[in-house]
Amino acid sequence: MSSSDTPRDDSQPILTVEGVTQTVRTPEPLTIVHEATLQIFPGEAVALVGPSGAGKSTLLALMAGLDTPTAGRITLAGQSLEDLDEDGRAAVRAGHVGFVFQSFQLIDGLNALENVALPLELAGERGAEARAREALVEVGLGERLAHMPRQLSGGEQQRVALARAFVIEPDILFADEPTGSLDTATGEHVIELLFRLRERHQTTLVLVTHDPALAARCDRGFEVNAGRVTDWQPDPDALRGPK
Amino acid sequence: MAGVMHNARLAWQGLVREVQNGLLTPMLLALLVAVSAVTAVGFFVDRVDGAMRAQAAQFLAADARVESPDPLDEVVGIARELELITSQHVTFPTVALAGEQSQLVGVKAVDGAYPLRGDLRIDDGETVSTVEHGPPADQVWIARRALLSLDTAIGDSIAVGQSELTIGAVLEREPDVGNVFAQAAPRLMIHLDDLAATGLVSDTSRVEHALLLASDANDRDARLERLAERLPDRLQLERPESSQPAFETAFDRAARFLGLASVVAVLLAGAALVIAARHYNRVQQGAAALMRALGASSKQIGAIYRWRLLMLALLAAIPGIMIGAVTQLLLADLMAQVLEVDLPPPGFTPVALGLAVALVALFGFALPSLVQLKHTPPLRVLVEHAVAPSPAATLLFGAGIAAITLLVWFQARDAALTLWVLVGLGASLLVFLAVAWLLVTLLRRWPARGVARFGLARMARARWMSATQIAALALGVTAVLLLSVVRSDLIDAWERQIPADAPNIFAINIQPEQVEGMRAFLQDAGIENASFYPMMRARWTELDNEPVDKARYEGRAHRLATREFNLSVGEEAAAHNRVTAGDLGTEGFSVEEGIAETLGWSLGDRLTFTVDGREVTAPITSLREVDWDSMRPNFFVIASSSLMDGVATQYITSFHFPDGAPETQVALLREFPTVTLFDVSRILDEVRTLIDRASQAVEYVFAFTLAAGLVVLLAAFGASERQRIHDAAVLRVMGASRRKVVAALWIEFLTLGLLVGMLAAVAAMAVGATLSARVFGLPLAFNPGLLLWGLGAGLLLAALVTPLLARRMTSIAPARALRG
Repeated sequence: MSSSDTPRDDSQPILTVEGVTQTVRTPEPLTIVHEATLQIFPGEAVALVGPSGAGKSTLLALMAGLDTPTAGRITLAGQSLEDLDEDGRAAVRAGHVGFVFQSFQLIDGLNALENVALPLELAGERGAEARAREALVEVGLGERLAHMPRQLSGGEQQRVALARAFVIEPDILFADEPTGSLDTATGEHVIELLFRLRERHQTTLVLVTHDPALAARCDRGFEVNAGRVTDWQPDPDALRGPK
Repeated sequence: MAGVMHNARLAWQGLVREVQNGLLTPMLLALLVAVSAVTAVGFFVDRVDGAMRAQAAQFLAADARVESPDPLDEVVGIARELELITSQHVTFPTVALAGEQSQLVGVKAVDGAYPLRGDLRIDDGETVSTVEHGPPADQVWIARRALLSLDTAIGDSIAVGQSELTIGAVLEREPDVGNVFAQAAPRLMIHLDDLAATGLVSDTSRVEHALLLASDANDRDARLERLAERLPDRLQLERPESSQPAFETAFDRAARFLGLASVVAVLLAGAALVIAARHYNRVQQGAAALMRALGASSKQIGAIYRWRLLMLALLAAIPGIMIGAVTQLLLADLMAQVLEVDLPPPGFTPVALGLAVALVALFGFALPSLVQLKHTPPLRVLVEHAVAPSPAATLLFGAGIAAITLLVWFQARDAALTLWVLVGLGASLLVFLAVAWLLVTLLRRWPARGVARFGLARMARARWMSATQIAALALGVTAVLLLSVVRSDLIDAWERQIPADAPNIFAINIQPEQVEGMRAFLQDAGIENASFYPMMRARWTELDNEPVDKARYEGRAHRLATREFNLSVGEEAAAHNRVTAGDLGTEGFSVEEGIAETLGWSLGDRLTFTVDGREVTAPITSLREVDWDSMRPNFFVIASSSLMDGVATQYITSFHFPDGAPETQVALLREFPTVTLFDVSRILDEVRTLIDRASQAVEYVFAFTLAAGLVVLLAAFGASERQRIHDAAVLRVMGASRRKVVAALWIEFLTLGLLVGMLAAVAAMAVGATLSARVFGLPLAFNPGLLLWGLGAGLLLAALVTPLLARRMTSIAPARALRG
């Protein structure tokens, strides 16, 4: 959305994470993310890899402003998140951020078209329905506009979620295990679509996955292990081609 | 503005689908029942009230009346200036003659405009008809009693003064019959144009002139007010108030009970809303979190859910009001047969009330839960255990109490009653919660095995949730039990109040020497042990030895202070009254507490009355509560026998003649010509019919209360349905048979039903006994049958819900249920 308002400066990071720590009480204090530091630049596709429970999703939540860190600083789309309250962070998300989740997160009570139009409606934008229709056509669901989430297969639901993520033309897209609930073949179709859309819309991608093959499609990555973040380079040999 | 529209649109989109998929069904039904109950009763009471006002005007035959011993030409002039419609009549007693027979009659000479409101019923020998005018010139209409005692028939001539007039019809009913005791003799009605020819009225005659006034203009009240201001001091403008107090009292009671029954329906609907809203909150947290993740501000989320509630209120209110309107047609139909006037069309107040109830109930009971959705952490899209904080207890209770107060007030319009309902409800809920919590805690320790263990484990696991459900349901069942008990007590009390053999004839002007003869006459007519009470006319002249300052009193107090009292003597006259202060045996005056309050009299004040030319002074030694509906002779003031030694007195009695028995009345009057009879059969019949209809109306409204109870049930079980289906699927995956799953469900619900029934029965017994004693004046008695009814109701709930839930739980394939 705001990507069309202001020219993008690709030399400045769109996301900066400086010494971010996240500790929770369960009831003993448990550090899930330990002094993470990283930068992500516009247009990059970055993978966050690591085993289950390593802290990847927590780091993603912090980077997207869905949660606040115990310590450290995060700057997203030029805004320091620690200076903002929850509504301020929501405004940053509304202007710059798209999401794709493992469990799709479609609203049961809305049909495909309404789910995709939702972020535009929330932002009070005009022509929400027309743009949502275009986005659904783009993901190949032009015939399923009035279908309710329960009437769609898992793959179709994730395609609706992709359409919802891209309809706002986000600067950065956070994808949390987007194929985690899908079978291999469907997962690969969804990933193909995700990367094609990202290319077309020039969107920065932060992809959380434990699948090395999927991570290998990204430009670079970070490995999260027991809350510690280190640089990680994708292995081109792990890349699986579409079948 | 665009933002507002977007929020409204989002609210609407969600609402439509949630109504379609059943998520909002309990809330919608709860509101529907609440609005229907309130509007049905509102429309009904409103219309019957309007009809009663119109009927009261009929009893005056006008919108207002002025009476005077002197001609009222001056007032007629003022009325014409104010463009009021007028009608005049003159009343006086005289003796009518027919051959050898004579009869004391009350002549009423009416003009062509009479009556301005209401109508007369006449029997012309062929048909009984309702007419809106008096007799034509040269004709006389007379009461059946006079017709019989004069030994005449329709078409015969009778002498009224110097005129010979033809009997045109029997006058069955006239609208402004007024105070029955003022009608000293059977009616004889002639045209005003015939009055002069009778020669009965001269300047010195003792007659009563009446001027009837009416207006169809919108500012009728203002015009009458202006006329009242211009009236000479000696005259008063009489407006219709309560021409039939017994009728009004009966309806007032019915209206109150209907109001309370609808309040109970609304409060039960409120309980359903609280439960349903909490469930809705849980289901909606995912959507709220997603919207927040997509950039919605908390304010925007709050706005979307407020819009949704507003729309839901309208969605429920419109059909609710329609159901209310249809129901009131049924109720009104019952009453239309009792009232003598057409029911006015329904007004808009109940519509506004229905809307207000929907909004107040929804915002008071549901909003506190839903408003928390705006605080749903967006993190929930990734981490399911991140949930919105529970609403603050102060917010939940504050909003709930405010809503209940408003809703009870809407119906009761009575601060004390509102307070009682609130305190009773609050205390019951707290007690129920505490007891339910204790019982559920005990269940945890129950050494159950197998299926029973699984069935009880669910209740024990979520102790507070189970306790809340039990408390809410118990409250509902208590209300229903209580209402059914109170309803039958109320109807019994009403029926006892006017039994079939309640006195319908009053006899006055009985001379002391006639008492024994009349007692014997009544005995022959089948009336045993008629009570004769001394009655004398007395004028109050002094208070504490100071002359009465009549200017001090206004309205009713002024009328009482300036008119003569019917005073009685001796303790027997007070035998069926309740002494509320002082001692009836001490020499002095015993006073009805209502008149004491109106005139500012207290125990010990010294009153002086002029009776039979003598001044009698004594202190007030007792106060009495009088049941004016008892149809027995009752008196404002009763003097000790010793005070009235030697004072000339007459007697009054009342008795029951089946259907009024006009022939027996005539025979009695022939034997005791000085005695005057008043026949109140018609009023009694009407009150009795009203009570009968009101009881039926109560039954209809009771259906709403039952419906509200069922909605509570629906909400309570709807809230846990998804979890239950999931749990059943897990059990079945692990190899449990359908039978075992269903058996576990039965055990859980039967236990819950028993707990609910037991709590409700104990509470209903306690409150019912208190109400019987305090409100209906019945002896304090516990109704042990309630325990059975309560347990039966609890088990019935279980029997209604369990098969439905069991079917839902076992008809969904485990794999589908586990996928969610």
